[in-house]
Amino acid sequence: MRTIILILVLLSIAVAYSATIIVTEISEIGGTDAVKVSKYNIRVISISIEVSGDVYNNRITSITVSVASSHPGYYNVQATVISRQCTDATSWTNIYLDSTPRSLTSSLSNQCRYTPPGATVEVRGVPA
Amino acid sequence: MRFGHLSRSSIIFSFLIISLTVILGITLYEAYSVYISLQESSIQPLPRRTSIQYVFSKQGSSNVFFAEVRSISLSTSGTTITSARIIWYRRFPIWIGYNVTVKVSLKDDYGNTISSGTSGTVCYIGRGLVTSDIDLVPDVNIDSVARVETSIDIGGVCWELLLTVEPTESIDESGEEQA
Repeated sequence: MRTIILILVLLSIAVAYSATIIVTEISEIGGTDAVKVSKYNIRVISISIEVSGDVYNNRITSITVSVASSHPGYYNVQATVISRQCTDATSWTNIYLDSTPRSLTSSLSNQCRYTPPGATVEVRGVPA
Repeated sequence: MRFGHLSRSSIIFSFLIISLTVILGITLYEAYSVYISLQESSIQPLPRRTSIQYVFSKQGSSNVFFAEVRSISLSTSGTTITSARIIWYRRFPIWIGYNVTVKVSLKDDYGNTISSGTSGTVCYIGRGLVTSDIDLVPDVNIDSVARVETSIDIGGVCWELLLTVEPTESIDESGEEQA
């Protein structure tokens, strides 16, 4: 009898420690507290590039982005310029963003050539 | 030593079993009584959209025949995109004009075009910055836009600028032409 009780107790402990929390909808965490988890959208309003000259074989030397977020807070923002095989990136850390666009400017180190068909600029933001 | 009808070994074994049961009981209680305390301020927001891509178009082949986008700005009303302003540079010969059409398209996460607009075809000659304001139809929420694509299409040769001044083109105080 004691053995059976012991086994049951051990099984209960195993179940307790091996419980898997399965979350199907991450909008609330905290059970009875019902803490709402905010979601953010990075909004890039405008991007401007500076080039090395008004010539065909010019390079992209700096970038200015106007960025906002749907959820106020501090973000790390990164801009990546891709032109053919060349990639250049710059970043801004711990930038406060809210719904009002904020202008960020930075020079680029690699200074990729700006050649047809053009260049792609990706702006990414994650909470700091 | 005898304790009633129980032997010493039985008493020790029983004591061990009772101790083990108490320990297991406490462990069981701890295991099931995990409490997760969270405060809203301590929870980082979850990502819905973390990045947007802008495509800067460039066309042409030489120092006297190319056009390139320098700036892309979205005009918004709240979170709704209504139009786009494209600032682009063109360098054409001063003796030949070219028809240029600037297009903007907004794409969602699946690559579908959800809004677009075009500047209309205008004849340009020489060099300089041009500002093209393009209405986007339909209006879309900025949070649904994953990619903003521009394209500069340099069409055929045009001659009207050699004879007349393009009526929609003006030069503002900053030296930029408005189209």
